[in-house]
Amino acid sequence: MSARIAVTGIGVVSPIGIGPQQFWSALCAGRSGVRALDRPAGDDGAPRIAAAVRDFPAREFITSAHYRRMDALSRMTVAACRMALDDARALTGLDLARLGVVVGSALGDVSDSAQYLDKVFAKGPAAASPMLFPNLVLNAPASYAAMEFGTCGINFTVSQGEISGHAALVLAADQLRAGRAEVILAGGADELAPVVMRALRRLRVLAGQRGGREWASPYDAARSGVVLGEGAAMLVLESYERARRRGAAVYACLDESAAFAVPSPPYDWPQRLAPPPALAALSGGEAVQLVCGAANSSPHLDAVELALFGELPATRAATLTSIKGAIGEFGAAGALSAAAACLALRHQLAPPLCHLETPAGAAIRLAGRVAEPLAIARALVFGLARGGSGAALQFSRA
Amino acid sequence: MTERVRIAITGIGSVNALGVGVDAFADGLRSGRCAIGRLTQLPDEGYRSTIAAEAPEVAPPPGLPARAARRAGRTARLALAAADEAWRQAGLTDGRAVGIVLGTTTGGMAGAEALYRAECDSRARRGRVGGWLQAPVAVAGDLIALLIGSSGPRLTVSTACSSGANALGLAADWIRAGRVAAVLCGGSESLCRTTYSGFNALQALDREPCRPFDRRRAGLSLGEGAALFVFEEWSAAERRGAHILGELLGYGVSADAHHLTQPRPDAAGAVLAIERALADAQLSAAALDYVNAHGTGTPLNDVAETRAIRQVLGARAAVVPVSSTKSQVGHCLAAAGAIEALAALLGMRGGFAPPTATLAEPDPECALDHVPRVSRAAVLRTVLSNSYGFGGNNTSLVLGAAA
Repeated sequence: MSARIAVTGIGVVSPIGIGPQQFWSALCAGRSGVRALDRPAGDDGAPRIAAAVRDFPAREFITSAHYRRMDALSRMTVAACRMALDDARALTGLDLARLGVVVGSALGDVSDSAQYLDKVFAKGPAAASPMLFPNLVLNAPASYAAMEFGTCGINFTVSQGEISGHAALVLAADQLRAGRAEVILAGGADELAPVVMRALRRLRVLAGQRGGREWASPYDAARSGVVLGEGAAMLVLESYERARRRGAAVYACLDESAAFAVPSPPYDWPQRLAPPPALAALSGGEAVQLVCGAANSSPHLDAVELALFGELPATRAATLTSIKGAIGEFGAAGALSAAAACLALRHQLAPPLCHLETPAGAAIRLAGRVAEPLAIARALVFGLARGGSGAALQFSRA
Repeated sequence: MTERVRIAITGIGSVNALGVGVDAFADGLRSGRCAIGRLTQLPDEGYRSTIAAEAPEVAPPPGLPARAARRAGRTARLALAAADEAWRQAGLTDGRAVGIVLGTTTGGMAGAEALYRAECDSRARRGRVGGWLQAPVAVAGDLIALLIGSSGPRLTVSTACSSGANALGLAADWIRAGRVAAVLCGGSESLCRTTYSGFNALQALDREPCRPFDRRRAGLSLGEGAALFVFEEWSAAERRGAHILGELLGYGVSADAHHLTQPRPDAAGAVLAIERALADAQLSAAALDYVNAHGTGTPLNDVAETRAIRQVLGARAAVVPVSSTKSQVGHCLAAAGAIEALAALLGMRGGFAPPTATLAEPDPECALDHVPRVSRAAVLRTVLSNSYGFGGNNTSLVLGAAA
């Protein structure tokens, strides 16, 4: 089987829109989902902004009886699956045993975990909710997806910090090539939760905590820390041959994927990064025109990427962007970056850096504040997690 | 047809309620000792059951930098102990290109729970903020990478009770796909309030040590532990003169698509996973000498699993030993699939079928040869291990003897 994999459907639940069309048009217009948070007065003066999903009519996308029991993260994930399948029209004639689901999530249903523990700590184990507990497993969204579509195919959930979305796509591509499924729904989801905000606040990594402007502006000289977000993106992957045979519209092809790790202090970003061999070897080093980086407005990661992509021969002449100014940072954001890269390849537009004012370096060309036409034959989607695991996905024009 | 890539097992490591190290595990399995005892790590008031299969405490291995070791939570420490043992046994000297695949569900949950509680109680002394860093499930894999100096691909799989089994299967896939030549893989899990209270709330915990396949079985017993393997591409292992302990022949997964906690009564998903594993191994069920069952001891699992095993084995269901080692080390959740694959491997290497140690009165609806109470001398060459997770994630592994 040829290695070429087609992306034939996209589903997105994001802070800038529901569905791939809303997501893409908002992204191109340079809109951001970062907003002021409603917080009680007397809070400790820490960050007040985040990118939350709004106006999400989950019920429109989820038809099974399991809807009622689904947690919010599962609803985002299953809805994104439904959108992607409808977009791809991939189910016709497909044996459901050959439909796979691969979901990446860094933290899973963390808000219900907190709620669950609140009861246990307040009133003891007898107050633990048997309804909430099953939803706390990281694989709940993927399992609900299987139930929604009635598929008994492969079903995996991976959790790899900030590259959870990327890792799911890498795994899905491998599974397709190994012939373990004919069509795979792959992507990821993570939610914004008060407990996560509190923890990261304590670690003092959020925007404005160590001084400076409180905003989300990847690659900006005046960036001051991470702004959190949430969302889900699921892509329909199938072999390019299958897509062509059934006359499907292809957004882009996933040509190659690399999974690697770089030396990194434990629990933290590397401060410097030599080009990982696996990344340099992707597609034999052929040039890409667009890089969707992982930059999240944090001091180290953004700088590491500017240096890395400016140095790497294949990316030196590319346009570098990151969509986290629009959607915030969360573990599975890479899935939304991948969706953006596929849309960019279809529409030949570079996703913007919606807030960029002062580029932090001149090593590589940065995207503008709104989407600009760009001749893109190949796009790289890059992810790097605290602790050093990394992933890169190379997409090409269909 | 291209020659199949074979997966050699060249290192194994273990921590669980039967002790630290593979030898302790093998001895414990052979002896049939039930290591499910009193719950001591968590306050036990308010629970229906106050027992668990607790693993001994383990310190981070000396090879781990101190800063990382200080923050390693319990799940990570268990994983590191087992990883260290497996890695040393394999005798590979260069970890740079080695991949890591770990299955875990709770990650640093036990530590995170304590921190969360302190955060919620404004009167409490705040926990060390760095403790939050060890909460995410991917951290244990990062620490293992640090231990062996890996810059290879790294993945954490979290599919509830089938995580450890999936980790082994996906590690094998990486080798077959040529992504890496060696992978350190397995599962780790530690007890925490969330899981203990959750299973308690579902009334899924037996007050007595679990009794898989028993007529009076009343639920599962939680356990904790880790099992790690070094997998290598077979010919590379041979070339370097590695001592090969066994082989991963195949794996298969399926989704029940039925219910988040209950298995399909018709066991169709479980059958599918077994069939896919056998197909992956290019074997028929006739080749199986032993089955390590998921065998949790819950009323629903054991009867559904029996249905699946009987359907696959056919007439041979009367003579192929099927046991649940959860009777000895409890249900180690995400680690279970890896721990039980190791148990099956140890049975092959030691020439015995591990027992269903707590079985007193076999349930007629679970008619199988359960190896009741005592282990049995047996020549095992090809074994099956099943794991079924919340959400209906079914995984089966087929392992083979070394030579």
